[in-house]
Amino acid sequence: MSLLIVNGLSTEIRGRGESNLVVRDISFRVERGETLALVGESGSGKSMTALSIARLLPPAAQVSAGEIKLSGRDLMQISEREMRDVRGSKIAMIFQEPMNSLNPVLTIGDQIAECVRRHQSVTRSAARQQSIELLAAVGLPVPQRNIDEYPHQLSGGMRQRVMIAIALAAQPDLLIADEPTTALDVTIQAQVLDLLKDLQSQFNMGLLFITHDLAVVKQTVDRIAVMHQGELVEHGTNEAFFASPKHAYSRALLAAIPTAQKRLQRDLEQDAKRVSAVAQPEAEDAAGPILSVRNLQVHFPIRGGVFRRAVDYVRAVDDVSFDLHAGKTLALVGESGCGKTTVGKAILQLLKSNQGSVQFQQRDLQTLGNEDLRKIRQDLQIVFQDPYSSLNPRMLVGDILEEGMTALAVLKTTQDRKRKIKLLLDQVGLPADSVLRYPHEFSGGQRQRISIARALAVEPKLIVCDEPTSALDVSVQAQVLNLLIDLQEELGMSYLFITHDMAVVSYLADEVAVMHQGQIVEQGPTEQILLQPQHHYTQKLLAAVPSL
Amino acid sequence: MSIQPTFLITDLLFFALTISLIAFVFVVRKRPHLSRPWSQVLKSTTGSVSLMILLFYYAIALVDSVHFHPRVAQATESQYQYSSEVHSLLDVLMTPMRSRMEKTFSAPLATHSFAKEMMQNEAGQLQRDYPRLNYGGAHLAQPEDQKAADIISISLQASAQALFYWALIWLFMLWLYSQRNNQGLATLLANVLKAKTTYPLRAIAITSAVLMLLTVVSMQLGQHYHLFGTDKVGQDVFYQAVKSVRTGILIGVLTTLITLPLAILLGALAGFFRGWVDDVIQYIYTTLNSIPHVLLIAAAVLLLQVYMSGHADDFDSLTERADLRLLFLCLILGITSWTGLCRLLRAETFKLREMEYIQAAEAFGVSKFKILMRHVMPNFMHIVIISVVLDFSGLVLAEAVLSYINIGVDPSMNSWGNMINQARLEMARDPIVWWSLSAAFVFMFTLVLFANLFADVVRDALDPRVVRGEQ
Repeated sequence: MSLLIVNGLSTEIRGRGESNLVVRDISFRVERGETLALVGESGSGKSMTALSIARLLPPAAQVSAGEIKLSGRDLMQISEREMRDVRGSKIAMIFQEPMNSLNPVLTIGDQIAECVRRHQSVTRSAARQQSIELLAAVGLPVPQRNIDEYPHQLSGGMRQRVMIAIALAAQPDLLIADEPTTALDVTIQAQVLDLLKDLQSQFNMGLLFITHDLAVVKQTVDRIAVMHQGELVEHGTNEAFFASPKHAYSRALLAAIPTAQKRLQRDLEQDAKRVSAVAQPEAEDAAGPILSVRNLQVHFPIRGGVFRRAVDYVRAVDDVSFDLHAGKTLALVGESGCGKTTVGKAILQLLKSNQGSVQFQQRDLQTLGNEDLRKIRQDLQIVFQDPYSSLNPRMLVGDILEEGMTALAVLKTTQDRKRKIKLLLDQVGLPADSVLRYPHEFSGGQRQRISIARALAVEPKLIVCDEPTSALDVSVQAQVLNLLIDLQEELGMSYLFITHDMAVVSYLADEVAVMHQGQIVEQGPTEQILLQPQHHYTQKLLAAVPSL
Repeated sequence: MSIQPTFLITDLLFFALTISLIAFVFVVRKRPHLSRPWSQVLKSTTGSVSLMILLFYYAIALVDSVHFHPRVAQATESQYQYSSEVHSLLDVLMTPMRSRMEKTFSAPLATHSFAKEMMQNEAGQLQRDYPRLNYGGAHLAQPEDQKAADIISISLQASAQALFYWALIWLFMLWLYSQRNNQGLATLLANVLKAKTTYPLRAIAITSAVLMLLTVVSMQLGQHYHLFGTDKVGQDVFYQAVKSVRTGILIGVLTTLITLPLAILLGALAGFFRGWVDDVIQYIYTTLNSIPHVLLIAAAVLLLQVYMSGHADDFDSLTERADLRLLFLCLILGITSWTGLCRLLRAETFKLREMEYIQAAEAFGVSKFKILMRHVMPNFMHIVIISVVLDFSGLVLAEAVLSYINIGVDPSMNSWGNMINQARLEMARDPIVWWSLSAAFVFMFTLVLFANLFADVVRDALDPRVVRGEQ
């Protein structure tokens, strides 16, 4: 008998007067010791499916049809009281955000022991002993010490391990992991995935793995179920799926993932275009790099004592140098906290740097006065990571696009600016009536297009792209990346592309600089870095990337 | 001329405020993206009903702000003598209630006094009994038998009148509307009745009917009775409560007008620039906060009193003195109450400052001032609106507390605070004198309740992130 049988499950969210089916008639099974991946983009209903199984749906949502059987027991029929026992002891869940899932005022040990003692009648000291064993099982470095630490003392990856330990404390039959590695860096992601696999075979659990990342899926799971708009569009074994995806949506999903091969294909197409067009003048390259950063250092003071003197410094950026040529893309790669965003902001003079020079078109930005800096801002723009916090929610899109032009006096008359805004919206593929709408009326990908249009409005020569696609779904990410590449070809800008995603790097970068703890550890043309990494950190980073 | 208009300082401020409100409405109407949220407010039933009631209060305050000296007697052919008393338009409208003073307490709609008195009966003997009131129900020969019937007949007549005029006005307006939109009057009426119009016309019609009924009935009854009874010195309580509307609204509005610029400007500056600017501003409000507010207010009001008694010639009338005291009270209340909001806004600005859209604006070289105006302030306005409404009710209550220790508004000025303060002693009487307190409470409660409801709707409408139901 299968561990979990989901049969004809439908879940609806009831709004005012109308109901919206978010999960439509899906059926699947999970066996003991087997991993099933539920893959789909945000809004496809995969999380709703998981919540339906655990009966943890938000108040507005409810299961409208279907049955869910765990070891032959129908979960839809039992009382809430019985269900509480099922949760934790039979079904355990791990969520996406390890930062928010742990109680910050209790020690790790308290939180695990609470779970252990809830499901087994053991003494306090026995529970503690068991907690230490669990922490060791999930690979925390010093379980005896870690058990008395608080969540904030641990890193994101360690916290996610603690979450897994808590989930395992009750020895569940089924573990539901809802995007357990999305918030983590690649190297840590690889560790957590390995750990999950090990534990699964060790405890002989069924694992329902929910993710949007096909690359992660390929290495971890036995079977794959693809969800699209609430429906299960494809369901098959791992090998069969990647060998020949049957459904059109699955193929589109696979095609949207940026890889080096696709870039080569693109390059070939472009070469063909270039050959037919007139040879491009390469005079700009002779003039030297458009941006040249030398020995840049940014330190943040740690203040202490009565007068808040700086007692120590965090060396966020420590001696970074690189060159960027006109019309090219330099990718700055690294994990979170390595200082790559700080570099971007320091180049734009949004942050004061402590040492070093930033030369833009042969002018040192740090020595410029306010007035000169304002003039040069026209050529230097930025696109931010979070499409939600980078647009003022109380300004109309038209006003957002106009602001830069007005501030830098790019176009003097209102008509000119209106015409330019129309052109910009057209360039980034948004309807012309967006002008009178507010940012919240747009989806994440569309908002990122608005951000790009805002940067383009002043016709910059260099755009710092600070993880512009990391908050987006794969298919949307592909659209935004292609848009950036097309704009570069059309307008000849340079990009400083800050990212943690090696796949994105291989897709669009001409050169790569790898950052680690505030320093650039390796730098060179993309092919060279990807194929022959020299520095051990680069090797580690590349090895951790799950590939298709 | 039979009157001599006079303008108190608060009147002028009130008119200025009214004019700027009207100007604001005109500006907003012309800009589609600004008028969208406000039409959202009007489309919600709660929004338009509370707005109507607030406007009704505002209208009372406005009518009560038109002041003049009435003429007493004609001295010579060309010269008129004007009374030193200041009256408002509202006083004229409520003349019988203002001028008809009883001796002391009387219950609502009573015909007899609340206190026993020695008097002579028909036989010429002295006895203690409840005397007839001078005015309340004076037209009745047999008050015990006739009172109920009389009150009912007056009320019914007044209701009929009110509803008649109400129906007339509404039919006329709907007719105008149907002419303009080429819509049959019958279909329009049907739509209104079924609440199928864009704006909640049915709710508005019902609210206006209720307001009209209450106004006409209370005015008509007020001609013959004391609707809410009389207070210790025999003054009509209903009149007092209505007169207090202006005081309440002025204290709420003027104080807020003083508080807001201080709180918004200082809060935004402290949060945005940090460093020494923040230090200085924090210093100011921490210092201000560490002085007990009551002490500060008492000192300020007493100073003003000393000044006024030293310069008695500068003031034409008692009303003018009371008015200046009210203004001064608003000022000092404003100065002591901006710190809380300022602190909130400072913290919010801290948060907003780190938002990426502000960094994007910096990357465009937008000036600091513009960033503050366009990116920071609009994004904390919801906090301002919420705390203004909460403060508004708090201020009306603060006025009551201050009146209690005699540093509130002038005792000669009608205010809910003064009414409640007086009711404090009346509550200890047996049988209890409950009407002063209840009248003040009902008027205050209605104002504060609908101000809260209105602010709720406005906040939702002004926030573009709130997804609206009908989409």
